[in-house]
Amino acid sequence: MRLTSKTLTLPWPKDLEAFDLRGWVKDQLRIHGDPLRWAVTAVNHSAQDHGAVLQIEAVLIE
Amino acid sequence: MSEGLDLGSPLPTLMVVPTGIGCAIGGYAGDALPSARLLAAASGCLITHPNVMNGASLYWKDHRIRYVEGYGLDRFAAGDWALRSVRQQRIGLLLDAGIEPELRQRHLQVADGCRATLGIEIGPVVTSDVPLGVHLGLGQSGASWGTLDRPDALLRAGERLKANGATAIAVVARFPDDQGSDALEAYRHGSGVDALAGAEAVISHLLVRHLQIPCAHAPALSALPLDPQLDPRAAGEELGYTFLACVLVGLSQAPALVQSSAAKPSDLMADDLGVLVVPEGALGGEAVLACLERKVPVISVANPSVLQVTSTVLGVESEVLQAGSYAEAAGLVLALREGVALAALRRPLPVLKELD
Repeated sequence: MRLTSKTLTLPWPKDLEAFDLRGWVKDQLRIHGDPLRWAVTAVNHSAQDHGAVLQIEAVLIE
Repeated sequence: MSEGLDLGSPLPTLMVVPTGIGCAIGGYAGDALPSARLLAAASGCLITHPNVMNGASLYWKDHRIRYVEGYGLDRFAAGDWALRSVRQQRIGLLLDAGIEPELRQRHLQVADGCRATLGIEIGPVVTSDVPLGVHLGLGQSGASWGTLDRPDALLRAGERLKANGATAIAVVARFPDDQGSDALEAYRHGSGVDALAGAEAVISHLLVRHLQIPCAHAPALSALPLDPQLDPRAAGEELGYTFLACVLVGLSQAPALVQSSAAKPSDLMADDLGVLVVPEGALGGEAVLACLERKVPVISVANPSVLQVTSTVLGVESEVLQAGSYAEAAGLVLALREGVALAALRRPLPVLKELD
């Protein structure tokens, strides 16, 4: 077992509401390991309506 | 708990102040505790976590407050686990092999003091087979995070405690000493992030995830030199040699964590939650997103931190109630508990509209 810190920067899918964000974020984190502790730590909206980008910080179990 | 609501009965309220994000209230040594006491009085039932309740040598007991570690809190909010009240936990003490003998003795004496003076059931004691190797870190956001070199050793020691009768675990890990860094000085003067908090949360999350029993962490550190400019919010950490007493008190009657599928009617479930109270910039954590998902009312409180994940950036501003302070949030909780329409408390009050 190994713990790693990771920061993911992911485009927020336009058809995904905040109410459904939790499961989607966990699915994205599981690509890299088993999420132990995580949070969306920033949401950056583009000025040209190109959608938003999520910053997710996590500690994962590998 | 879902059946048979009486007006004025407790409104189970979840209070989250994420660890290690530098909240003006709750970013220091248990300094959200007064707000938690107020919310507990307003709601009649408050579920919150060690970062809110732990003030090192300082603590507060309130039968209306449920002390639930962050990983367990996330599972509860997501509906995976239920909370079961217990009269008393038997707290196993897990000590990091990296703690020096004198500092280790200080912790054992605190545990003995809590047994003798407070009547808390403590034991057995287990030392990890190798030093845990705590590392501190800061994320891009400025929030504190951290990792362990030997999570396997932590879990082995936790398994031994549980196998020998512990129903909860207080874990003490040796944290790197930090004598005089700018970050520590900023924290002690009331303007920085708690650099230890992120790693502390990782340690307790690992144990709770693995053992499904209440756990909480106290860091072992060398005493700091006297600082005459100390911020009152950090003062709780300067009263003694350890941060362990509050952890033992909190765990002593922490609710047991049970699978929702095995819950009894008297257990507290996510479906029972009446409202969540959270700092306005910290809506990106798992418990908060789970509450949004489950349509639990959310109150966001003005409580500045390094994060800006607000209801506006998440596009849920119409779903989230705003409070300028925890005192205002307590008023909103009380209104929800008493069935007072929140719109009636604010002006302007729009006229009724008839459906088309």
